Amino acid sequence: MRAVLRAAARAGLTMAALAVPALVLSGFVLPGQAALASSSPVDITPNPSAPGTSTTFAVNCSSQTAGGKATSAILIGTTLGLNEHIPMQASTHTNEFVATVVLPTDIKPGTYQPDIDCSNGVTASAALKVQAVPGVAPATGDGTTATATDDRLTTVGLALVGLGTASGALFLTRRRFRARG
Amino acid sequence: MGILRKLCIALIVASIAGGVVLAFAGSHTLRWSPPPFPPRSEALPAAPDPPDQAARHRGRPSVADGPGYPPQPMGRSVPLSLAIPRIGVRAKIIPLGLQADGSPGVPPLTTPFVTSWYDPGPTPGSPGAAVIYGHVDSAAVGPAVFYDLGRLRTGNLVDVTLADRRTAVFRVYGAGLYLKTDFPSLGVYGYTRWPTLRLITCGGEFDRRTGHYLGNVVVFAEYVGQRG
Repeated sequence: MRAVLRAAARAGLTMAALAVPALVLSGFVLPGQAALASSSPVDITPNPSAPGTSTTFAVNCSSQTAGGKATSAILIGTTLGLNEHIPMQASTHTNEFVATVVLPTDIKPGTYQPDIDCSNGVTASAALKVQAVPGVAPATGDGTTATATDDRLTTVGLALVGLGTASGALFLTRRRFRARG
Repeated sequence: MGILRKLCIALIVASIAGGVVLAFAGSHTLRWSPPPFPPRSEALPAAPDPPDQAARHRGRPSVADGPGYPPQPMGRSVPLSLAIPRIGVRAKIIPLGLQADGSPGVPPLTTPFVTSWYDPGPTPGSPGAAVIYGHVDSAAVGPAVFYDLGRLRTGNLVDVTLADRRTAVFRVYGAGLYLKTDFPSLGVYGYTRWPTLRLITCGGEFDRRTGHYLGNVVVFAEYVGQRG
């Protein structure tokens, strides 16, 4: 998967490289770098990520336009609510740098585009999606089984009381009736 | 006074007295027993190693691992239904997101046997923690779909059938009761490299004043493979 991504990124870079010289000649160096950034040689795992989760950024600083091999790379953490300059570690692959950060627990859900600056002048960026995590526990019950009393028993009881009272009343009136008669 | 009359009086008195006793008892006994729940916990259960690493630790795959070992995580597919044989649950799953108050959506109490899946999160069987909620009880029926969730123990299996007609199988590796005021959101929803599942309902003491349970039962399960 990574290899595929990297190959795709490289293909993107090549296309960008074809477009860039014209821009550089006409003095638009920064837009040229933006074109590089859009080809996204950045691999983010996991993506989407969640607040408070370790998230790894891997960047490939290779570029055919900006001078050769990078010796270091820095992740700009400001948009994520982290340090502005987060140094990245060189990986076993040439020109690849890796940094693992823990996203702040209060980071808002949404899409973030932190920049990565390579020492050879390449700027890269990629979209990190941050998933919403519920801040409030779910309400999954109304307490019926913890509170509801046995109304069947109560109903039978009340019916018995009613029956007793009614027959008692009948009994008394009949006696009085008979006594008078 | 004839014996018949005496018997009548006795019967009337007995029925009134018995009725009072029954009515009193009825208003003081719970109709259902309160839902079972695991011991109160503050920590999360340790997630087991992903199967490929577990096999490496053992040195060799066991016979029980079967031919499809190690299992591969699944792609994204929306969950449709849930089965937990140990507690006799078979339920429909509806996708729901966050509500305005910051709590996750749950099915209405009028459909107490439907569960909901937290749809901003991963689908069951793909990497990450998929979360499914169900009610513990409802005035409409008494015990609801996840009434017995607190009975689940390590090793019990949970099947989740997805829209692509495949079934993701999960094995429980822990359960706990967590206070709502101290709910371990990051541990429950945070990313897991291996696919995991969390089943959540309410539990613990019920607060009559607020009309809410004070805690949540959370069952933690790991993906062990797929069927179909």
